[in-house]
Amino acid sequence: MIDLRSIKSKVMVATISILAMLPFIPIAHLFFTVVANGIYAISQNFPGFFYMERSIPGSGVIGGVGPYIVGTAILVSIATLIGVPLSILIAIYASEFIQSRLTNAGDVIITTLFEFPTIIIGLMTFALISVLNDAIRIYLLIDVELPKFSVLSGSIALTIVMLPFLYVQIKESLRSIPISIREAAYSLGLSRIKANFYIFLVYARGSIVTSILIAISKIMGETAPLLFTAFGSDFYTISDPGFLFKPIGSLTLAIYNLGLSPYEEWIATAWGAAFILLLMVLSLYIIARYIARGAYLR
Amino acid sequence: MARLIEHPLGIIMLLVISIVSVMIIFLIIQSIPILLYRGLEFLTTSSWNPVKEEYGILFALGGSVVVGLISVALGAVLSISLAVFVAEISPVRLRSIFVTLNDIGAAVPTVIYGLWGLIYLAPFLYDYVMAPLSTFLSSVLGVPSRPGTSIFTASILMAIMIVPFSSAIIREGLLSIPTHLREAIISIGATRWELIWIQIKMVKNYIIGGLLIGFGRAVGETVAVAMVVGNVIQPEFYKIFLPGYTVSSLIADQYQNAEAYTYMVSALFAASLFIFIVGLLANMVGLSMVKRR
Amino acid sequence: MIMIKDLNVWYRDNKILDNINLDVPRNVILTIMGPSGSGKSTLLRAINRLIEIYPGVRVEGEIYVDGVNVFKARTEDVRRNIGMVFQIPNPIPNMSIFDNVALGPKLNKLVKSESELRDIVKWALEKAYLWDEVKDRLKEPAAKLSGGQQQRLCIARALAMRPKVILMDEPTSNLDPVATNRIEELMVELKKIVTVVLVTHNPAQAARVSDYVAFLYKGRLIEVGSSSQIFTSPKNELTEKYITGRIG
Repeated sequence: MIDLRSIKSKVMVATISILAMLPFIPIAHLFFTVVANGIYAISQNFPGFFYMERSIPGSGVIGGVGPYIVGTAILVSIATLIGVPLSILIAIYASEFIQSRLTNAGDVIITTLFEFPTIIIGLMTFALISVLNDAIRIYLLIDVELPKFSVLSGSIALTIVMLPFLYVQIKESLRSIPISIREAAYSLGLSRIKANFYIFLVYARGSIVTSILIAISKIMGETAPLLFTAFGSDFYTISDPGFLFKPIGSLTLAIYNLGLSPYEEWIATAWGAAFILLLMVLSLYIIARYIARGAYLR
Repeated sequence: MARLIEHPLGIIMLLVISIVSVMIIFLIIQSIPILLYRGLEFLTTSSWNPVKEEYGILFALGGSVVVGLISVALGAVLSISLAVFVAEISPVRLRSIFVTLNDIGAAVPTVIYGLWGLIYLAPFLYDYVMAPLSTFLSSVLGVPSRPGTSIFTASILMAIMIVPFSSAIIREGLLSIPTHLREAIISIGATRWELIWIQIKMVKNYIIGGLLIGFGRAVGETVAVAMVVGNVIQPEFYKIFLPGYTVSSLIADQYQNAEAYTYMVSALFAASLFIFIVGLLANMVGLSMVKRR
Repeated sequence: MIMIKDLNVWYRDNKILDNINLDVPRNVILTIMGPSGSGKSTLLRAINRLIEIYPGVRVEGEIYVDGVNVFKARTEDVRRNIGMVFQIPNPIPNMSIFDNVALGPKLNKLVKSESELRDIVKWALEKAYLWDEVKDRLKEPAAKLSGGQQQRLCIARALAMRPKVILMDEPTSNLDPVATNRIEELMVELKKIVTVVLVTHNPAQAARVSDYVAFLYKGRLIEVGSSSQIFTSPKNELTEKYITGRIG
């Protein structure tokens, strides 16, 4: 009897171990192919791959992803510049006024937003601008159209993607500050703003910086919310003074569009873009983990 | 009674709440025209003919549900195994390595999964799974074609993509079991497998929660699915070896020409509203399961 | 110096302090003692309105500090004029020793120049008997100090605001006897410049340092009197039971 039990146990443990390793096979293969194909593509046009525009299909030449890198940098920077301060401010409010009705409302709405598929966040941004345009036309009777496909709407969409994650994380970081530190700050007669900015945010800086880096790495890899907003472009647009109101490309949109194209040169370009994007996202992710570990040690 | 805004910062909170609420309301407003125009047929028919302004999204809703169900069914076995392995079987020294690998899998941008799925996974599945099986299952599952993009491929890709998420949640549950309970189970002479099985039963809320959240992700995922699902209007969405659509991939694939037609924008919005509701329900139930413990 | 009139405090539906009336003269040490849960810490935190950072708390009554009704003044001003030292030494761990003491004067803009700030930090550290131990390592993080040193650092931090009153919430309960002894000596020295309100659950400590003692039990003020009177001839039976160790 006992023998049978221990045999069954060994068989099950072995089965679980094998099943547990299965998910790593495709992920390892994905890493391997992204690195191999990516480095191959980049080596075909080095260092032009980093600043040139995409090539003409059938030319046999691998172009570059310059405009996409710039686009990702611009979209992510604007979203971060809006999203991080905004999240910090509302997280401070939510951590200071735990029982406020406004905090409860914010928690419900913002965590709902967290569950939104990101394609819908793109659609909502698009809808917001459409409705605003209708309102301008009907009520203000002026013929001004806010551009639906633009750097700005793309940045707004990415801001909305990062906002709920940052809000929840920063709020938790602030709420987990020991009450003794809160009492120390407030017993000195500091206002809420000063106590938070000079003491609490500094105290929790490790976990907050980690959350911000992870948020940036998340939005950097987002494609769906940009489809309806940034729309995509294959060329440098920043020389145009009105570029904020024009569509812009990104690494993710490029991988999507070029990857689905039938041209070999473009698919190779997509791999190169994937390699660069993966490198950027994972570097941020690893730095974030490193800082988090330091924060725990402190 | 407390004031609504206790502090100037509350104004910013109110602003954020207002903007998000307004966007949700606009999403609903934008969905209304197509529902007025097509009524229930929008949900119950499978036709997508913008030229005739005919929109029925049953095929895409069906595709989304099929992809969600298959990927969760496959993902369940794998993510439970992975979570058990990390929490219970692997040496403690190696645990953080597996956790990191798992989390890196979750951090890879979905569009990169899509590219890999399109170039490698789809042909692989065609050669080794779909083509061999279709010789005797083609009447049920359909006749696959190169390069292998299909609802089945999308389901497999989503299974690969949701395992890191679901298993992280299940792992969290397993690691939260107090040591004294584990010791109690071991002390009554349980084998390793019996210990594992008892613990799996203890964390079943986490398992259901993690899988529902995975389902929500599978239904909501856009570009990765759009790259491997084939993007063909396929009323027989249950024939999973055929290319098809999910709601998200339909939106991603059609948005560029949407504004050229009267009702297409509205149709895409209404479609997103339905997957949002499905995904939100899955997520809410999932999160409440995890929180309940 | 401090006058508390008809003070009632609720947390949600529980009454924590029941109609407290108490006068504290200038430059003395008044000790509030009582068993845990008697409301001592709440009473202390009502004086500088720190109690208000806890959600669900409601306060009624009047407290005058130096003639000012604290509930009519701005909370920031009230807390600025009243120093506080806590049960767990709570310097901000990632800030330097200097910055911890400089925190109040700097953020509240009480000083006009860097040199004035340095002077006030030195003065506060000297008054807290800590200057000689830390004068060569002012830039080190506060977390590197021992528990007793950290608590004296917190006293210096409070003193740097030049308060007229210092509230101390069981400041020695987490310290060893040697460190406790130093803090107790320091308190006696401090009453030359401030009024000290001390909370303790240790009657022996109350007897060692206090001029006046208030005994709090289940949210009610049972008895107030001079230290010698309370410890030699308490009027109330509960007080006697407490100081002889029969409740607590």
